[in-house]
Amino acid sequence: MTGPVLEAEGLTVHISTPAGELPLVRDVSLRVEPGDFVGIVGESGSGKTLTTRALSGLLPPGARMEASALRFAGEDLLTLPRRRRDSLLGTRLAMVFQDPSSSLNPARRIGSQMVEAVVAHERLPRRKARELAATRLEQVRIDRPAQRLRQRPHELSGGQRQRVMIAMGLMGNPALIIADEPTTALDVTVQDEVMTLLRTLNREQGVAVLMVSHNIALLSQVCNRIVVMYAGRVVESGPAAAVVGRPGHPYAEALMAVVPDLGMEAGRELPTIAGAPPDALAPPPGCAFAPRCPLAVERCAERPPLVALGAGHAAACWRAEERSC
Amino acid sequence: MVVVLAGLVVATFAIVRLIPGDPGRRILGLRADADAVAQLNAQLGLNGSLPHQFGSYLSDLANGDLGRSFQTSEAVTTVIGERLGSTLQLLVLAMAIVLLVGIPAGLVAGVALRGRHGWGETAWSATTGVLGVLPHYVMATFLAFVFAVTLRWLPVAGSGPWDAAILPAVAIALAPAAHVARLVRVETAGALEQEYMTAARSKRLSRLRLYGAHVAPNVLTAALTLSGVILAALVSGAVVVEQVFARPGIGSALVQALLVQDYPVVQGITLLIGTIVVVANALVDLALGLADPRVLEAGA
Amino acid sequence: MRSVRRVTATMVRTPTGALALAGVALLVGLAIFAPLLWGDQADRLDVTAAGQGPSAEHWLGTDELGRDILLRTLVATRLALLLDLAAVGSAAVIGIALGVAIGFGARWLRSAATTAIDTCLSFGDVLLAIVVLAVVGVGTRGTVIAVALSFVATFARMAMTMTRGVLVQEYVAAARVVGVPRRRLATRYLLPNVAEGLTVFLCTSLGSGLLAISALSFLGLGVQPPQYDWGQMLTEGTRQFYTNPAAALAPAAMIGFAGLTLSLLGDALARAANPLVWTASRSARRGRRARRAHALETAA
Repeated sequence: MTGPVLEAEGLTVHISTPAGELPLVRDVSLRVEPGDFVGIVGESGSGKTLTTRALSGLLPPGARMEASALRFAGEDLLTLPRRRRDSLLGTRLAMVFQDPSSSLNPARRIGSQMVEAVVAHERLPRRKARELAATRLEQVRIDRPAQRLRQRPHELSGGQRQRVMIAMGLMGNPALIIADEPTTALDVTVQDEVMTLLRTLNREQGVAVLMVSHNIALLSQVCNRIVVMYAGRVVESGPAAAVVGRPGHPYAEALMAVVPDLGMEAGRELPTIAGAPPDALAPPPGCAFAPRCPLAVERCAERPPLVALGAGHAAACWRAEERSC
Repeated sequence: MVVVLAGLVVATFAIVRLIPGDPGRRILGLRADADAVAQLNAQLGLNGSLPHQFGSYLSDLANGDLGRSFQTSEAVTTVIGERLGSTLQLLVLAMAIVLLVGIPAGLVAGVALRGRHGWGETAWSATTGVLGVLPHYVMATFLAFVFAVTLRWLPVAGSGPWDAAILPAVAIALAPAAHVARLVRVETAGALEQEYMTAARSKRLSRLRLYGAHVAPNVLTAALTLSGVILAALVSGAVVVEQVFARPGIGSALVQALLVQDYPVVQGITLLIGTIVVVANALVDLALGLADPRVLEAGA
Repeated sequence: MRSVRRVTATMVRTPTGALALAGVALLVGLAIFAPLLWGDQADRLDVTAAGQGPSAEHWLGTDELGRDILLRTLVATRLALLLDLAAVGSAAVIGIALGVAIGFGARWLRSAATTAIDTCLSFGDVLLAIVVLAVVGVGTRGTVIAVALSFVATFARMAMTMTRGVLVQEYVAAARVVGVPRRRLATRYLLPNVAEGLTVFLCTSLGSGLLAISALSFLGLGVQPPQYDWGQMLTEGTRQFYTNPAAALAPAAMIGFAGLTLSLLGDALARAANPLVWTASRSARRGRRARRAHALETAA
């Protein structure tokens, strides 16, 4: 396949509330190339999860999406007829959610949950689909796959459930896996397993991954590109090494500083970013980060555009260029 | 369950013994002669000590002997046998209506009213609220008036063909169906907000498959929990409604027997109805247990 | 104790509350004044005008003895409410006393009582009342006793649950530690906390009590001529269903209206007394046991 796996331009998501329509995601552009491992990082409420839900067409009721372009696997999702869109997204896009204990239906067996998408969209006979499911479980290193298919989610551990979710996504030969904080709800030891699995799938099978996390250090280990979101906007994006090494936006720098590391002195207070994210009802007119920014200047009352800093690296900060030099 | 059934046997045994004064005298009236009263008391099994009475009551029960009706001298088992079919027909039909109308209605309402608070919500609460409160005999009267008297679509009285059972079944089924629908709707609304629903939506299944396969199993257990209670409500309803529609079932037999103080029949039918309710509740518990207790606690 | 005035004020402001209060006012007004105004007229026989349809003279027609249906329906309000109050009131007194006593009791007593109560409840109130009627005898007095006894179980269950809820609170544990006697514990600590909940439950029970009494009268087991209530009128009315449907529909409508009003009142009272808890707990998912208990309480 040529061209990007996923391409979104000018993506905006409004949520209707009693207080009116809230734009929680604004003018987000995103591009995932084949084989990419892209990370979206930001605090809670930065719009990162909502962005992935909009991309995958899974917005909650009351949310409305606009975009000037949205393409997936070479198809234009904005104009594709509903049926074809469903079968495309149902098979070629895999979703992995935060809490594996609630993302599998507790009342149904693993097997029937795994096969239903391919049975519905690819008209695969049920027996063949179950064989495929067993293969996929093996692929994510779940032991005794044939037996597992007959089990229910509560009979599995958290890490196993998350791997089942990934295996379920692999059923339809996905071009892209969207993983929303896939390790946050898991034990530290199990987190590694899941990350290794995602990385293996990405390296060996060329499946592109779009992963959302609040942990920029974790993303910097696995991603080749990182997108930083703040208050519903992309404030910086670029190659992982560049974003982490020479951040153009003070917010990206602040995110790096608050990652707790194991070498940290015990008893020291956990570092945090001073201040709170802006009120979505009344965002500041200029740069949303300005009120919390140590480098803020007068000009920040005006909203900065994304400025190119290098090959594929851009940041929305008036002082990005002077700092990156 | 054994304990409850034993309690039931004791209770039916106690019915006649608890009647204040001399039961035989009370039934036959003051002018009856003493011999007749004594004979009747013997027939009621009231002679001898209480333990002795209870012993013979039990041995009769074990032999399937529920005594004879005062009124017709028929064996109580015969009375029941002749009328049970009609009542069962009514109950089966009513249960089917409760489940086949209540559950889908609750599911559809849960999906359609998701995240909205408007007229739909108000209309839903009002309709299910009114249907849930209106007693079956009032419902039966209205239904009979509309469908049998005014429109003349369905027969009002009698038993036999299924069409005669439709109106009474609807009358006793509507209130429990409304309760089931309300419960299922709340459960559905809860299930829809679960993350597994988002995961299921990501598979892009058809709506029927999505809600049928992912919401229904979580909601059905809730409805199943209620089915024992529903059956009890339906039996109660049948006893009353058989009267409205002049159906010769065990309910109307019970009421008739009560009016003429035909105690053996009252005892027998009470025991039968009690057993049906108790056994049905036990079966529901069994079914819920089979459906894996942990799933029940975690799901829905 | 929260002020009654505040709750009333809150109720008037919500549509359901206003509706419920208006309905209750109408019922109470009818119960007081209708027999005074039309009591004699409603008993007046007029064989020449028997079994007529609605006319200018008799708006809803006449019954088989030529008595005015409309007037009789209105006059019957008093008896219906009085019997209901007597039955449910005594059930409340006995049941609450029993429930609080059990709630203070040992664990084995509580679990035994729960089983016994749940068994009683699983038969449904009408069926239970019929069994009691078999013992105490058919008639007005019997009906009141029967309905009262069959409602004792629900009140006892409610009071027991509430008592436990309060007793496990820390301030009550503290009071126990410092040696506050049980009676004082019950009057000073318990009552103020459960009064509200019990009042709400009492209203709802008045609704179902009225329906149960009417059901028994309807079956001919309750109120006997020359007294009359809606249930009895409904039975008589169904006999002239084809000539004057209003004879059956009028009492049926009043039963439905009274039942709805009282259940609405309970609902509105609950919301007004505790708006937050009610909106939250209604949508909250319930456990299996609690769900069944709730269903038992609401099942007709």
